[in-house]
Amino acid sequence: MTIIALSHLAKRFGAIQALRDVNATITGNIIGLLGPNGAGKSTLLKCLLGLIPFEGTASVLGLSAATDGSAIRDRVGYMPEQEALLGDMSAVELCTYAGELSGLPRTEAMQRAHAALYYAGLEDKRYQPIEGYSTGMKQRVKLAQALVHDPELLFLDEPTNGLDPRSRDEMLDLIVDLPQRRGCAIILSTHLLPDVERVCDHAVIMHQASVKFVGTIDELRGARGDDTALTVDVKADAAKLAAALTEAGATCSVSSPIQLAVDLPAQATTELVFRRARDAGIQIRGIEVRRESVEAAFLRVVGADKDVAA
Amino acid sequence: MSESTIHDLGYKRYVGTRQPTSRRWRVIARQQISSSWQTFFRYKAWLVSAVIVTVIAAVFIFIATDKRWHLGHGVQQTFANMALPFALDWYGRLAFIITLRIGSGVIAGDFQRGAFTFYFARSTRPIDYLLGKVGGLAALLGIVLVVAPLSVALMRVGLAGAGSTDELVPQLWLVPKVLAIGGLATLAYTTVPLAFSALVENRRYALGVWAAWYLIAGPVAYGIGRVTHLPLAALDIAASVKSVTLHLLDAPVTPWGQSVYDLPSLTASITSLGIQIVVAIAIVLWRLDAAQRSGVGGAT
Repeated sequence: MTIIALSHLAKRFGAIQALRDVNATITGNIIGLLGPNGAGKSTLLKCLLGLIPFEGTASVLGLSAATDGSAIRDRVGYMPEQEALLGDMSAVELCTYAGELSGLPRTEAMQRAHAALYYAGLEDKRYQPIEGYSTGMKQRVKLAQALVHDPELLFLDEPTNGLDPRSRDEMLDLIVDLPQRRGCAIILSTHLLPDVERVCDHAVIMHQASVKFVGTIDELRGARGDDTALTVDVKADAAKLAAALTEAGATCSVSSPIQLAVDLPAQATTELVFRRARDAGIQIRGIEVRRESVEAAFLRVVGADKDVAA
Repeated sequence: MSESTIHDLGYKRYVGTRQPTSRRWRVIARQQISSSWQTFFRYKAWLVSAVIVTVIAAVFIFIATDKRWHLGHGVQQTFANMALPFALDWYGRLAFIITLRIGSGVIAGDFQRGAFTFYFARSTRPIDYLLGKVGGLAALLGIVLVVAPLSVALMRVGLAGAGSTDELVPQLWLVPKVLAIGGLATLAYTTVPLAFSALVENRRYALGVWAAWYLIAGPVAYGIGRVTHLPLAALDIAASVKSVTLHLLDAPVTPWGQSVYDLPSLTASITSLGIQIVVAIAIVLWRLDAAQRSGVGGAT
């Protein structure tokens, strides 16, 4: 199902072209929205929520962002990066308020506030004032307030910011669980590419006001169309197999006594590896196509400029 | 993957209808009232004070009906007739304290906390936010500036000693007059502090600027206006409200001996209050519109 469709989307702020002729059809369950600072992610988000006028067309969940911004915002949840919580409230009061502001009747909002906080892991802390919460708890409240009105699409902006490793793990687990359990798609905007690698199935990469890549994570990592780069795990003596494969024209790099990276010669297949291993008396434990990391793929897509990864 | 457990309390997709956007302001108004009600010195203390003022005014009306009050300028009034101007004078002071406690920091506080992201990432519009905040604060101030004086007015009417309907009807004019005074004062005390709150994105500074406008700039303008005979005096919100009160209640002198001729004219007072209210609303809407455009996803 298409979640977002963009056609010739453009936005200018005075002399600054914030979005330039953006065309994309975005599908998937958890979509990583990636791009260096100033790439146009925030502007795209504002356009999609119908908060600013733009040229071209944009639709979210089948609704026009130009004319149905209010209806879109009722069906979308937004977890901001910065602190955006109200004072003098407990988590359950805040989430109830959020639900009511999104159009839920008060009783329904209250029930869903409890459920959302329970889901976000704040079951026994939900009556405490938010001011006393730790960073991790505030991140959970932000997630709960974004979920309370039962959105079909969630925008998560740097959801693991400031979290310790354990809390980060738990937050990522929640993100992975959401589409399965609640049937909502997620757009995850983050600079933490390992997070994207772990949870996203699709990615959108923006750079210099336009979309540079839209597709699955596998497509992103394997976009070179190159299945001759392999990682081979052996029981022992990786160096011996490397020597045998080098003799056959492959390029090998031994990373440990039980693992080596192999770049096969053109037209060769994995059969070459099996044959040489059998001839050398080496037991193969596993072979997988060696793909780029998301970080390497991202840098390639945005022009191999390492500065943009920050 | 971590070892964490994810709980869900029997999640089901919401299939009911949603409240129309045009009614969301009521949610904001109710939240404003409930947050103002939370601690004693935010609102309740001043409400109690207003009740005390009302009781004192009632005592004036009940016990000292015919006793005369020497007001200066050779003017004498019965205690009963001065009870309402006296009460309104005090209600105005209490209203100012309430604006310091809950009015002037409202929007600035939301700016500081990044709350506009919370509001405008939803279908809340700037006008909903404005109506909600104005509605909530006006309801709270209205109890002090409209309901309390109305009860004093009704006591005054009830004890006027009207023997027939013909005598009672002229007395009843007090009711719409009090409603007009209270309504205008409520709007002024609600919107002007909110405008300062929207302009100064810091809660403490917003409070300070509003207090300076009310306690320093207003009286300075009043002083200059009196000396120069320009309508500048009407910029003083307290003086303008006093002027409207004295003119509409046909009281020549305030309970503290200030003559109606020392105050700005009725026209200048109403015009000044009206302009301040309209400008304040325009400022708030302008700032909210900007907040809506920049509040989601970082500044543009």
